[in-house]
Amino acid sequence: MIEKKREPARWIFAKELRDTSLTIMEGDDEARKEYFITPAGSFGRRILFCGKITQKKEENEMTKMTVADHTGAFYVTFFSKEFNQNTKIQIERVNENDEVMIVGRTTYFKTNEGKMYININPETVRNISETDTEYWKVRCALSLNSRLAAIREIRKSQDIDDKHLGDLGFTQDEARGCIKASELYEGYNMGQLEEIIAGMSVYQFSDTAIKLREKVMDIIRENNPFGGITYEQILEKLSKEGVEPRQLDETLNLLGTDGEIFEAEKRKFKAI
Amino acid sequence: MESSKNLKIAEIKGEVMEINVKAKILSLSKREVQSAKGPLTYHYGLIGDETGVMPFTAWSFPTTVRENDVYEISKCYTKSYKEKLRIYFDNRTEFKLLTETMEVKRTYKYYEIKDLNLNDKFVTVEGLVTSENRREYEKDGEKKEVFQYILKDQTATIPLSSFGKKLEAGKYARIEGARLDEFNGYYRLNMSDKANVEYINIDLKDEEKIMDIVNLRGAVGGITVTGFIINMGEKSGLVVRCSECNLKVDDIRCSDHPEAPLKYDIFTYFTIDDGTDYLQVSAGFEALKEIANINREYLDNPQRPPLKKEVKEKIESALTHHALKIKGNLRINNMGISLRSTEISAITEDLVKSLKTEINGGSN
Repeated sequence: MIEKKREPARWIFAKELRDTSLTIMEGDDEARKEYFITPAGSFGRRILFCGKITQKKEENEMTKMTVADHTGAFYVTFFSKEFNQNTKIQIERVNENDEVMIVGRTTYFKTNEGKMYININPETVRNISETDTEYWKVRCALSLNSRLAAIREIRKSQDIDDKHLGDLGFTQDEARGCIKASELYEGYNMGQLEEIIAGMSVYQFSDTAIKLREKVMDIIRENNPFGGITYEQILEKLSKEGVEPRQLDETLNLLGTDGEIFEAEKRKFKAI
Repeated sequence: MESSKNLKIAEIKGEVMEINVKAKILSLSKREVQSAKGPLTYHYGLIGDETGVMPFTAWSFPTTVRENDVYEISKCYTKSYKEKLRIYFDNRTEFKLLTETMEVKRTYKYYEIKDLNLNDKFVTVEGLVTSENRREYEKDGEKKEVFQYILKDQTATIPLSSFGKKLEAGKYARIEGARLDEFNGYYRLNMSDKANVEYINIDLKDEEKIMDIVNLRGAVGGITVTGFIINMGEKSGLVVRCSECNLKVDDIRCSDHPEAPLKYDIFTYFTIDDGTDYLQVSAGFEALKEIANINREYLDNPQRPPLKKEVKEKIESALTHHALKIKGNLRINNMGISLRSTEISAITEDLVKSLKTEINGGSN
């Protein structure tokens, strides 16, 4: 008997998942399944991600965790049932500030206003090394980079189909997802996703950014109890020392690349 | 001024200038070389018509030209390169796309080794000819010889058997008309002495190419993948083998060799996921010994025979949910494609750095 193909786990950054506001239904009648589709063309029902546990709360049979990568946070909720006791043991073994790899199914919650929240129901949770996390970040960036390139190609002409993208070297999944995402997220600005890629490429940070690093980190850390600090507020605090926006941008990129901070809200930063 | 002459491929004899041909582009590849003036990109491949096939080199090439299209090509010339006639296109050459179809005599599509598939059995391949091994066999009462090699290009490796024709081991060859088949789940190439072999001056860089799982197609060798191990098979761990036939023994003795002593071995199978897809992998002692820290002495110690639970835990903690690099050979069976690994190692900082340089390349 041919084994039923396992649903692939997509590797995506928190930012890409957080910007996801749509799902698509696939399959016939009873086998109909709901898949997330991100603005950058990744689609699925399962994801694999790495990051640091910034919060872990247990209530009766439920465990809630927030796991942050350098782009934002993933929200994980686990309900202990008879069939998932292996996962329960794995969750019990991890603590706040641990570096973890998680594979999980996505579930969706839509508010009356139409805003969608994605929760992750974990299947596997495991402590990993910093090198493993770095590896995941780079592979994620490569995948995102490739899909962004496909979307740029699609935006050049409406006639571009999956065959054309296949000829250009994109995979079937990339072609399918990016064509669909281009239709569904027509006005989406890819700028912030492109910045993540730029921040991860091999880049020599300037001496100014390296000197400013600790100072900016202290400012952000001090404001963690208040839900983070905005870009403008950081700039204001540094303006007396003559720090320019481009120097702050570079320093924030440096801290983001090193996994020290993440964007809690748009242009609002928190320390990991 | 010399006027251009219309010729069929088979009519091209010797080095000629200013010719026109009507031909189909059968294969098209691109290569970058370093010249005195800096990097130089050229195209090469095969063109053919109803009368034959000929290799070409294009110093200048319109981007619109595609494989399998038929063109009226004017102002080209031929030259002998390494004693083989090639047709050359330069910046004066003009390509006019024709809508007609063309039946080409003898066409062997070029494949990189990783892309070989059984839908196209007669192919053109290129690669470094390595590991020569000669064998004799008898056919119709006559003694014949076969030369066995491993052909290696920048994407993968494949065993190659050359019947009656000795190849130059250590050289990079282009082989037109090799036949692809499958044996025991692995691909191999066969060629007769009629296959056309051309040696090309290419230095194959000895660099490891990490493949995306989604791009793995055929049962070829020399593949490297990376990813997280997302689960390990239940029956992984300690196994007992017959020292005579090496087969796994589930009973207290081998049914074929009941007198032969038994020996301990390790085996695992697991799933690796690299974000593009996932792949089933199997591994034995050689691939596992370093990463799982299990040596022969540990398995063969009569004072303290290995414990099933302990061995399984050692393998599980070394592999499961870690990011690893795995080298091996792909195999096809009715479940699809799987990897028989020859080497398993942890992801290193250097590997992460080299992947980072790919981000730079891709975002340009």
